[in-house]
Parts: sequence; structure tokens; C-alpha cells
Amino acid sequence: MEKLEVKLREKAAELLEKGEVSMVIGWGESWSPAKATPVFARGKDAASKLVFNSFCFNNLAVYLPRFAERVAIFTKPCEAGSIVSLLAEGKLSRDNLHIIGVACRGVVDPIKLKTRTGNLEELAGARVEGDFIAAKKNEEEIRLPLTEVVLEKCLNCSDYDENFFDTVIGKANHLQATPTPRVPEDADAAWWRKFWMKEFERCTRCYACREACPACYCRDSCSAQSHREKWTGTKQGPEEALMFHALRAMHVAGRCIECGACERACPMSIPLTLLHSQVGKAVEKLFSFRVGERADAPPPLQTFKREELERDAS
Amino acid sequence: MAAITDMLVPVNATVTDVIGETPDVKTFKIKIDDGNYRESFAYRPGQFAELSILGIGESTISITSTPTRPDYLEFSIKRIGLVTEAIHTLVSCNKIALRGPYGNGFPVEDWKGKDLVFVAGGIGLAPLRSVINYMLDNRDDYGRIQLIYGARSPQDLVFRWEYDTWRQAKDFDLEITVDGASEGWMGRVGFVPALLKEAAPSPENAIALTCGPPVMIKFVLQDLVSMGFKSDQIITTLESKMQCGVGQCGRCNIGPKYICKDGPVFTLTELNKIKGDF
Amino acid sequence: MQAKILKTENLQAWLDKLASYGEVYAPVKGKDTSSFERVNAGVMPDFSIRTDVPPKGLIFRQAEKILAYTVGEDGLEIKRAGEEISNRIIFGIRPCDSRAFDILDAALLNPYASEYSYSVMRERTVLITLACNEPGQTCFCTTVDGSPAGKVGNVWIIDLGDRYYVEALSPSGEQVVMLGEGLFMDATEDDKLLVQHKERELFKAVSRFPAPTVGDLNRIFDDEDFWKRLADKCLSCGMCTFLCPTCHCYEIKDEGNPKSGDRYRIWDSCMFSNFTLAAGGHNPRVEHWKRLRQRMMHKFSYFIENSGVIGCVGCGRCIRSCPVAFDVREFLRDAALVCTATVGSIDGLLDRDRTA
Repeated sequence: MEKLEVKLREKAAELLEKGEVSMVIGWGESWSPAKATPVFARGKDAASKLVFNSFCFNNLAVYLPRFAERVAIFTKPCEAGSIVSLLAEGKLSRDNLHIIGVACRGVVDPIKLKTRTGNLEELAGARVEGDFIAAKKNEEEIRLPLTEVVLEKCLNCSDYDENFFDTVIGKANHLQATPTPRVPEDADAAWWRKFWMKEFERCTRCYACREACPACYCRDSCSAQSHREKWTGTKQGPEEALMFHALRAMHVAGRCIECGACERACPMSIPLTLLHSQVGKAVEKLFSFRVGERADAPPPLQTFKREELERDAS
Repeated sequence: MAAITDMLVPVNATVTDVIGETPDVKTFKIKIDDGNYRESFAYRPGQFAELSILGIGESTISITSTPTRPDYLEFSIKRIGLVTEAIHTLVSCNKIALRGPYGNGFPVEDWKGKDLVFVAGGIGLAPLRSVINYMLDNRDDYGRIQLIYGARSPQDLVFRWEYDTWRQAKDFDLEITVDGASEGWMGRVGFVPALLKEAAPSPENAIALTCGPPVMIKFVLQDLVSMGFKSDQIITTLESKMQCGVGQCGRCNIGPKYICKDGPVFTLTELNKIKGDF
Repeated sequence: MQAKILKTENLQAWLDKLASYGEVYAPVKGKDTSSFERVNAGVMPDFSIRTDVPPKGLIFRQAEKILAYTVGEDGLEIKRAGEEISNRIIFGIRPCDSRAFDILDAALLNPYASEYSYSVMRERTVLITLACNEPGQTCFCTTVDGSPAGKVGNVWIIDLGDRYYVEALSPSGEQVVMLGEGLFMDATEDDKLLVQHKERELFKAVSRFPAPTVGDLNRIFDDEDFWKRLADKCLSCGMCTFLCPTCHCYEIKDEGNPKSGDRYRIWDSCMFSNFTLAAGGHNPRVEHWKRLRQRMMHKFSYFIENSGVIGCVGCGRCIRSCPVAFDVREFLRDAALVCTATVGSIDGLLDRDRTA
């Protein structure tokens, strides 16, 4: 077993035993070795179920607003951004959290892995070996460089502020690679429009992306389904879908950390992270704001400053 | 292929009269335009219909008229959401779309020869009024009728224009209470369950029907039981979000039952058996 | 009709002839998702895949126009949407997906009320079921009364390597087999014996585990802790309901203005909180664990009580696609275990009457 995992379990058991928290949220094994699953450890024995590896792609911050009691949460450093956003928006109390940062070497994007291997179900014994993912498919050995199957953002991982965490396990050791561009460099508004109109032909507007998103917590009040102001129509079609996704993209702008939860929840595998990273870049450029940096600063699209108006006019 | 009528498609109807009941309740008299459909719209007290304002949506509304008066349908509607807001703007001669009737309704045939106790709160009187008027139109088939009714305030009492008729009917007791009085109110002040206890109806050869806000129903059911009513003698109606009206869309599913199809009328015996989210 | 044999190389020829019956849909591998698509010159079927998206939407469409309305000088006019629906064939549907339509029939074509568009689509569609030679790791059809070799639909075919064994199961099935007249030979007794053997082998290939009965589930309904723990990881995203071949909850919605517009019947999901939100604000299932309980109870208890069949075909899509790897098999095993802990031995579970 990885040393990291031992430490992780020890920490969880310790917190539970001392009664510092009532539960530890982490990752555990699922039916597929290529997919971790969220684990909610309530007793120190359950801590032995915790694992950490490159298949722990789920952003656990999504669960935090559900709990009123003090809980501990394992988080990849980038996902601390989700917690910071939730703190900044008053959805969580810092006193109720014990945040454990786990050094991460990038997490596998199950969608990429599926595209590369055909079917996650047939991947036997999927595991991480150094900077490779190894598995067997129909008796055939598969070996894929981590850089080819991790989430886009993992290739552009930056150092993080250790002070934010109550506990840090492991040493920063992130991947560095140049992502293969998924869109042409000169992609302009027209290109994007064409791209999304094509992608959104598949959208069934089931709203799974929204429900899975840690930043989308409006639930019954979501404006996309408001009965009074019909922002989006009932008809199926790329125009209506675009309206919904654009609406959502603006609402999570400056709050989305590109964890990919929306994309993974999409039954039609629409590459939604592309949309959100595009908007995220714009927010960063326009407002010099990086998601999750400060828990005391609300996201820029939720505030209004006069100089922003003047800057736009100039 | 056998011709199947699409159960989800409503038909045209015309509003023939509107009665303002309370600040947020109006009673609409409605006549189905198509003669054949009107004939086939055979309903029993306690059933409901889906009323539509096309472009806005449908709303589930219980029928408050009685099948013994077949010239029109009546619906007493509380303004509570988008559709009911739109319905409230309708005046005589306006069109409305309608489909139904749906639900099981009250087994009024089985109650011949029995005394009836009605306990209602607010707009909950609407479905019970259908039974009351049905019984008044078949007066000799039923025994004594007691109606215990309450609302938040005197202004919130519905069907005030009908109380005199009821009071003059044979063997009919009408007791009214309000939660809070307003100026000029000479009647009783207090909650419905308190009035029920005071009236103390006898469970012997009787059926008790209750309909109203969930919290009132909860207490009334308890009180009726403690007065000696058996679970089979106590009837209530369940409310929930409904849409299709025919047990398919899934909203009103509670335990193995669909309120729209298997209800909305249940005996307390049946209710006690259902495990579900109320 | 006598069972037939079709040589593998003649499959395409039969497919081509089927086009004269109506639109032909078959499993197609797309860039990101596999689904049932209309096959023609440009779109090639791939019978080796179990599709990500079930063929449910080909018959129970996601957005079905119910009616169109206009408000003019003569009042309100309501026209039932009279879109012509052509005959269609779903070719290579797996037994689980095929059986899902029987379950949808029970829900949507019940004697109390029939969903019009579904009934028309269903009547005009021929299901050519392909036995599942390679069940997947997440398949559990045998636990929910199915089989990878289940004889369901209108035609049943099984791949015997160099040839297909073809059996018509209904008059419409015979009709589409007849379209390929000349391509088929009569099956021999040996073929039939081989098929029987394969049926048994395939049934054994999918692991079977004890599942809870209606009685079991009724007993644990009030065990809040059980359901809360179960729902811990559930995001309530509803993806499972959209990919489920038997989920059929819907919403009725208008699109238009006061003068004219349309009314639609659209898929909805019991996993969403606003699904049960009433106009007055009352909502019996605000908590996400209650919604998960509703979905599980509906499939594995209520549906059996109302229709006599389990509301799940064990296709495993909800397991494969769940973004947080929720595994419905774990629920079934846990529920059965929790119950056996109080009501008896686990051995008897498999053979117990499900309605007990």
C-alpha cells in the first residue's frame, strides 16, 4: 500500500477517535478499479476503507453543505478552491471543517479513459504505476501515460497555499505537461458558437450537470426552471440548451474550479468543462481574480465596482 | 388500430359564471362545449379535473359541484400558483380547457342510511360540498348530516351564499368557527378540532369525512379516533403535486399508490397501511 | 413459424431488406457515447457494444408534443399533435432493453389510462432482440428475473459464431423475418440443441445474488439510517433516471404565448427536489435520501405490487454511468442482508416469492 494512504487512514482514524469530527469524507474503492467512490467514514474502523490514488477524481466539496456537524474532508489542493468559494458565499462555516490537503499527482478523467480504452467495465486491475495507468483489457496489457488521461486542469496545476489546510499529507508533486489543445488556437466566437451548437444537439436538458456541481446549490430556485420567467423554453434543441448552459456558465463564473463533475454527470458526455474553463479564463483576465484564492472575497460577478464600469467604457 | 383518445389532451369549456368567495378563492361555473364529451363526463363527488390555461399550464382542481345537477361543473379555486392566478383572471364567456374526471371519489352509494359528519377547513370544503349537495339531492337516502367548518378568518369562509340553504335542509347541522375574528363577527372563534370535540358526533352508524390543511387533518383524525370512530368510518383526501391525473407521471406516488388514480379519497385504514413520504 | 438460420455474411442483406418495413435503428458507436441510431449508408451498426444510451427514447420520446393550441376570434382551438409516425425496427436490442418495454407497457398502457403517443410508437415498432453473448461486469439481469438470452421482443436472434439463429416471437416479427426470405434456412434439430445449451450457459454467465423482496423493503422503509447512509454519496443528479430503460416519470409543459403554442410531455426525474414541489410550497421529498428511497422502492417494491414485475432489468447503466460510482447491486445486497439479519437465512432468499 502507498505510504500516503497509510497516513491518510491514520489521520482519519485519529480525528474520529478523538471525536474532533463526526465524520471523515474521503475516497474509497468502487466496483471498478478505475473509479474511486466517495466514502463517508463515521467510525474509526471505517477509516480503513479510505484510499487515495489517481482514480479519486470526485470533488468531495459538493457534499459539505449537507452537514451541520463538524466534519473532516480530504481534498486535492485544487479542490480547496470549491471549499473557499462555498465559504466566501456563506454556505459553510470554517469552524465546522477540518480540511486535509492530499498531495496529488493528477487525477484520471474517466471520460478520457473511456474514450481511450473503449469501456471502463472491461478494464481489469486498473492501477497507477509511476506516471502510467496500467490495466488489462481482454487479456491485453494497456499502458497509458498519466498525462494523456488526466483532467485538463491537472496539466496546469500550480502550487498552493498550505496554510489553508488543517492538515497536509504528502508533498506537492504535480504533473507538468503541455495539454494537447482541444480547440484551435484561433477559435473565435463564431467557431465556439458552431462548436457548442453541435455539442448541444445531444443535450437532453436533464440538468444532471447542475445537480452534480458543487457551485450550483440553488436547487428549486434555479432560474433555468423558473416558472415565472421562462429563460429557457420547453422545446428540445441546441438553442434552448445553449441558453441553459450559458446561463449556468455565467452563474458559476469565478466560482467553478473545473473539477469536471458536470461533465462526468452528463449522460451524453458533452465536454462541459471546456465551456467553464473558457469562461473562467475570461473572468481571470477581466477581474484579475483566481477562483478559490480568498475566502473573504466574493466572486467578481456577484459584486459591482464602479471602476469595472469605467474600464468597460474605455 | 383501435382509436385511442389521448388522455392528456383537454377539451374546450366555457366559463358561465364566477363567484368571488374570499380574497383568494373564486368559484367558477364551467360548461363543457362539446355535447358528447359533456355527456361522457360522468363523475362522482370527490373526483377532480385538470384545468388548463394553455400557454401557462394545468392545475389539479377538485370538482365542487354535484353530479345530480348536470347542467354545469363548479370548481372553487384558490389563487396559489401561476395557473390558478391565470384562471382567476377569467370572466363569464371566457374559454378554459379541461380534462377528467380523475381519481376514485367518495363511495357515496355505500353510505346510504348512514349519518354523515363533515369536518372541513378553508378551501378543503370544496370537495366535501360535492358530497353534501349530492346527499341533499338524495335526502331520503341518508341520515343526519353534520358539517363542522372553519377558516382562518370570516373573510376566508367559502360558500357563504349557500349556508342558509344548508341550514334549512332536513336534519342538517352547520357549525362554523374561525381562527381569528374580525370586526362584526358574531360567530365562534377557535380551531376546528376544538369545535369538533364540542360537537362530539356519535360514531354510531356514521361516516366522518375530513378535508383541509394537513395540520388540521392530523388533529381531526386523532380526535375522531378518540371519539370512537373506527378507521373504516373515517375518510379523508390526500393532497400532493399532481400532473397527469392518471397514475403515470410519478409525482403523487406514495407507497405503491398514486394519489391521482388510487385516491385522492382514502379511509384511515388504507392510510395507515401506506408507507410513504406525505 | 419455423426457427431460421441466417449466415453471418447475410446479416447486412437482411438489414437492407428491413428498410422496406420502416426506419431501422441499431447500436452505433459515436464519438463520446454509443446509442441506437438510424442506420443507413453512412452509419454502420456495431453489434458488439452494449449502448451507453438505452433505446427507450425511440418509443417513449423525451419531448413529445401532445397538442397545439390557437386562440383566435372563434375562441380556443386545441389540436392533438398528429405527427405521422413511421414504422420502425430496433435491431440488435439486448434482452434487458427489450424487456424494459414490457415494463414501460405496464406503466404507460395500463387499463386505467394509456399514453397515446407511446401506444402508437409501440405498436409501430418491431424489436429484434439479440441475445447478449458478452454480458458485462455490471450486468445483473439474472437477479431481476431476466437473462442475457431472454426471449423478448418480436424477433429473437442469437449469434452462433458463423451464423445467427432467428426466431420470430410475434406476427410482426414473422413479417420482418419474411422480408428476408431467401436469406434464411430452416434451423436443424442440432441448431436448436446448441441454442438451448447456449441459453443455459449465458444465464450462468451473469452472477446472481440475493435481492430483497417487497416484504423486506417494506420492513426497512422506516429505517432512516439505512437510507441516509445509502444516499450519502448520491448527488441526486438524476443521470441514472435519464439512462434508465424503465424510468418513465414525466412532466407536462407548455411552450408558447396566450395566442398560440404547444404542450409537451417531457421526461422528468424523481431525483429532483422540485419534482414533488406543489404550488402551495408543500414538498414531501425535499431530502435527497427520501428521493433515492423513492426510486429504489418504486423499482423494487411498488412496481412489483402494482404490476407483478420488477421495475428494473439489470442493464447496469446506472452503475456504469454514475458520476460517484453508486452501485445499485450494493443496495440490493445490503437491503437483503439487513432483512435476513432479522427474518431468516440468506439461503432461502433467491427462491422466495418476490411479493411475499
